[in-house]
Amino acid sequence: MKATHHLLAMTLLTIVGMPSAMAAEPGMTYASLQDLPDFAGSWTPLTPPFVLAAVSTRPTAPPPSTPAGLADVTCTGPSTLRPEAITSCRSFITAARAARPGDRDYCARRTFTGQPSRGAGGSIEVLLTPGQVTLSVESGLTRRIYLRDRPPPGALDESFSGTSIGRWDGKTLVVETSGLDPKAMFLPGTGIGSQASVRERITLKDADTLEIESTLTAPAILTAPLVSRQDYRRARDRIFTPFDTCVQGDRSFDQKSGRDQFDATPPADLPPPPGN
Amino acid sequence: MQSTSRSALLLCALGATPVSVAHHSYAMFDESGTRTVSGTVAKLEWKNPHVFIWVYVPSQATPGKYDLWAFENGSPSVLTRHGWSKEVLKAGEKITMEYWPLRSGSIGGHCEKAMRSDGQVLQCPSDLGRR
Repeated sequence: MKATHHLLAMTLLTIVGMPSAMAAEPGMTYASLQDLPDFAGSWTPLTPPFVLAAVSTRPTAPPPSTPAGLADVTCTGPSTLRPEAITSCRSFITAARAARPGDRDYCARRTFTGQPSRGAGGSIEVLLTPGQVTLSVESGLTRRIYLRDRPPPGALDESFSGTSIGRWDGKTLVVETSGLDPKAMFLPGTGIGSQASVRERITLKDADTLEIESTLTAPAILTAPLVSRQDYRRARDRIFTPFDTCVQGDRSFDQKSGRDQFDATPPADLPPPPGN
Repeated sequence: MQSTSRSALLLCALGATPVSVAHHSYAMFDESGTRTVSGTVAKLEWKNPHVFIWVYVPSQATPGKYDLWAFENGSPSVLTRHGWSKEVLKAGEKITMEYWPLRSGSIGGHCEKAMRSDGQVLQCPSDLGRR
């Protein structure tokens, strides 16, 4: 009986002792979350200055009418982009332009860890819980950053989120991500390839500005790591709604045909016209 | 695309290309000629990926009646950055819309500016690239 009690006591000590050691690290207990920078909540991207509008809605020249012309303006990137990546992109653009709209995969996920957020669908929500930081991107990517030394068992399946391990370096959250899906799209028709990884430094620049510096290493398509920075402004009152290329109720895009549309079906709850 | 924006694009460089960014093409809108129309806000439809502004406009074809116009706008995420909110426009308020018309000739188009009766101008994202 005594031996049994001793064994039980030792087991309890071991169980209690393990979390105690881990609890010494910031972010591992609810109490320690109070000492961390206030990342929690909603953030909307600040930079680069309005990429979406300039690209998609106000071209200074008519859009290219030929596949080759479209490939010229689409298949561009940093100087470290490998020529074969550009070739792959150009081939995809040419093929996609030749295909019937219904043949294209419009619902393909276009966001991956390490890709700077864009204007539309680029807002994020950050949730701090003991041992984990969860980062939800408006356009559909959910990232779980585990505060530990190595990936949890079974977490190495490739995905667009990858497997993220984080640690606090003072007031900066440093995140290392591996296990990224090689098909994650860098350019149209061109994935990031195998052995890609991302290192991020997430810092609160001031009370309402969050900076994410991201370094993407993708040897299959880049000859050198690519560093980008994205600032976010705090948006405490932001209500998130679904955003995706295949979001339900998209008035500007018909998912079935793959064609643009302008769906002017009035909402059901409109008030009557003036004077009625 | 303006040169400054393109530079920013290339610096960031991760998928920020016309094809990957554009949610859909804007070929349905005639960007060559901005038009203006005034009316009464029916609803600000605040949803992704495009906010829509619904406006009752006095009908030219049927005097005394109203036509319902629809104006596509940016996403809530983008609009929030430029001063918009879900409550910024109220049903019943007077408004003047600057817009790109639909090439189809249907009423409505893509919002460029929404001008309130008190003089406040709400910039629509489509216009920002020209600043």
